[in-house]
Amino acid sequence: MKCSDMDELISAYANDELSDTQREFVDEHLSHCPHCRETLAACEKVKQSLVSLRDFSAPTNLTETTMAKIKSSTAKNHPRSWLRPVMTAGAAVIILAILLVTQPWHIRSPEGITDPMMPPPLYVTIIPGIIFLVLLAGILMILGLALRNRLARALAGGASILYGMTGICFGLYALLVDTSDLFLVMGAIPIFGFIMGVVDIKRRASYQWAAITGIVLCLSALVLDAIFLITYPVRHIWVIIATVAIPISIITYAFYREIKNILKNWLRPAMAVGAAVIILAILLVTQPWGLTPQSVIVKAYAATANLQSYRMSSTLVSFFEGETSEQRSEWGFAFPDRYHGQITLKDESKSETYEFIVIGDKQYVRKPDNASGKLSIGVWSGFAPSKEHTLGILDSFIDLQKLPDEKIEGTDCLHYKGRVDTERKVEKLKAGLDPEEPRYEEKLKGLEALRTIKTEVELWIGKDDFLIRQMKSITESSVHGNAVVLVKFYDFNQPITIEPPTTASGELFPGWSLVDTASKGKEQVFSHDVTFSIVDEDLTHQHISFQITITNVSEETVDNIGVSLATMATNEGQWIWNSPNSITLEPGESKTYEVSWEYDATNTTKEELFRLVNLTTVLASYTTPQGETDVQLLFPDAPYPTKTPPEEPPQSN
Amino acid sequence: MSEEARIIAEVRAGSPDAFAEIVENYQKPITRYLYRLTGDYGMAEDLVQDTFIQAYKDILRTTCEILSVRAWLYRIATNNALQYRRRKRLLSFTPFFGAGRSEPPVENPVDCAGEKMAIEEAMLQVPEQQRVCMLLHFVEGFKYREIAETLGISEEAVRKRVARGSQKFRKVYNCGGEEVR
Repeated sequence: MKCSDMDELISAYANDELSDTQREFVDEHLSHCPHCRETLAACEKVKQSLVSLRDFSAPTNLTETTMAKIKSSTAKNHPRSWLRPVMTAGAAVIILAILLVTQPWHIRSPEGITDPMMPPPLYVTIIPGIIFLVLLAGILMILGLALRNRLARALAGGASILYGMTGICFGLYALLVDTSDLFLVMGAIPIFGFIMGVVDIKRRASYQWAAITGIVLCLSALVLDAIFLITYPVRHIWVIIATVAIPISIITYAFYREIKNILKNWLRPAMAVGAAVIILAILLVTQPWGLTPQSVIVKAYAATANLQSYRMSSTLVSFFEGETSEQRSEWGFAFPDRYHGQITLKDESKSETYEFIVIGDKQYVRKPDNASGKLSIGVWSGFAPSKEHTLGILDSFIDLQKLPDEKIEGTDCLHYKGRVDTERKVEKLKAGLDPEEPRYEEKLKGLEALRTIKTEVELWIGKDDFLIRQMKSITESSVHGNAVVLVKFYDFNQPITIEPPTTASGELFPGWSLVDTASKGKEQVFSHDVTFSIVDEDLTHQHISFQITITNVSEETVDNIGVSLATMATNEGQWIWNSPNSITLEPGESKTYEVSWEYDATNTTKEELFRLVNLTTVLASYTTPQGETDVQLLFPDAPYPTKTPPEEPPQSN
Repeated sequence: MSEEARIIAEVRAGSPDAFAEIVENYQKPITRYLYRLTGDYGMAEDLVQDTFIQAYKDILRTTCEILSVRAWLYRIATNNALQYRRRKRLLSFTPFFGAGRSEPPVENPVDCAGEKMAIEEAMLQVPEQQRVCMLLHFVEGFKYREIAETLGISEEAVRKRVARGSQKFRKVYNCGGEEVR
């Protein structure tokens, strides 16, 4: 037996901790091993030294203070025990209030505008309800924990996990699919889970692992929230901050003692991290480097306004009364006011291509051989590439939403969706009308009808130069149908030359004609005054009569004038009346026609009769000074009839 | 029924004041033990209170018999002390003994104060686990079997720790003087 192995035994021998057999063994060894005898002596010395450590003086009133602490720490009534439930209830109430104000359950479906024919998909209506219930459950759970309810304690860990996972799911969904309103909910859910987990750990519930897992999941969800905030600046930022900051601060205050215990040694680094997080959050929200949607739109506006030239191609598909029609066009624009392009119209029966050159006020058009009628371009309309039109859209762009970046023709673009502020436009146009103008009321009514038009616009704006690369607008109008326009822009500031299609001496090239500038947005050739009356002698003899007066308000003589009236308000169905002779009117001259007929109204209500009469159309056809045949609508003035019957028609003689 | 068992039964029946007797009996030895273990008197005081508070709560939490109050109390005290030390070590790299230690109020200054200081210092250089066993045995008077029961380890482990601890102590204590193997 080596001496080094004996050391352990000798130590135990010195301490009297060996069994009889073992002691005998060591005794025997010691009798012939001086080295080990020295070891034994050393052990004895250690024993003596350490015994001196028994000397110790201590205050003897530890008992009192200890008992006092025992009683206070296990007391059922904390001096501040009322505070905690009140604080938590307060936090819950505030969260509830924020939810009610912001109403995150009005969530749009990811596609935005849905086909008005289909009912909204189920998940749009169910998910907000579920979210609301989940949040409510969270609030109740926190209340239960604060009031030390046993069931709440048992469920807290599991609930924390659930909330964490929900927060993560919503976070991923919002990041990948994008629904900005869901973020409001996202911000709230993991906070609940986090609170429950922390309180649960403090109470040393039996399933601490559940609470810890829940806390980790909730923190991950909150990290996703932060990523979302960085990527998609959202409106109502202040609501999100309030949803996050207020509950956290209140709960922190209420559970301050517990948190302080946990953080006792980590307080200073935790505070430093907290301060850094707050500063980071403020920077992300205010984004002083200006990539909020508003600032991007402003930059895009400036970039577009400065363009010297560009090209665009657009596709318009419109859907009205069961018919689809398509229009493609390609345009080049040269500063300041020159456009050159082609428009192709297509519907079920035919396809026609027009070529246009616009220089300032003048429009030149080359019609296809099978042209069906006149066509002139309103450069202010959405189908033509006017810079003013694009700037107008940028100006009235509201409800901006940022979508994931996309590459358009190889250029990285910021992608936004929003809608045109039709209300503001209508108000502006209405304010611009002069009450003294002729037919002010009808124009007013026309503008009102514009209100019903909804336009949703998507923009793809180049990240480097803030030039619009692509624009998509979806217009819905109950009156004019739906239209989708997709426009692509390219060749910015490339040299583009646009010349009028004339020879050096001013002759038009073959196939081209000059659109009469006077007739662009032309004033009516005739001013007219059309009234009708319904005299009712008795039910079977309704006497309907129209009085039509036309005046030539143009500066030229107009020939071959004929007036026709088509109506459905007869017992025989459609009836058309034509003026017997074609006439000529000098500028300023007028002519009046009277048309009347009888109607048996036994099976018709008064409202129905008014409606039918209002559906009557009165047309004036004439030959223009240029030799073309044209037609002007005299009645009704609004393109489509109003739904409610007019007031009692003025009884005329 | 032993005295301590009676006290425990009383506490469980709802009278906390019965516990005061246990506190009275054990406060000095446990404070001493904790002081020798940690080397910091202020901390030892806090730990002692924590020990008793936790012991009290444990009484209420379980219904099983506590066979040895002494072993049980010392176990709690040991765990508290080791946890405290672990946390302190994590956060500060200063050696455990040194500035910042607090000393107990001295009623009877010891004559060989210099020598005593050396013993304490040397003790604190012994690794934790071994120091626990040594203190329990030499200072608190536990038998190896009791130590094993208190710490939840085997008697062999106790024997090893005491032997190795003593070796280390000798080395450190005698480093100024002659080396004794």
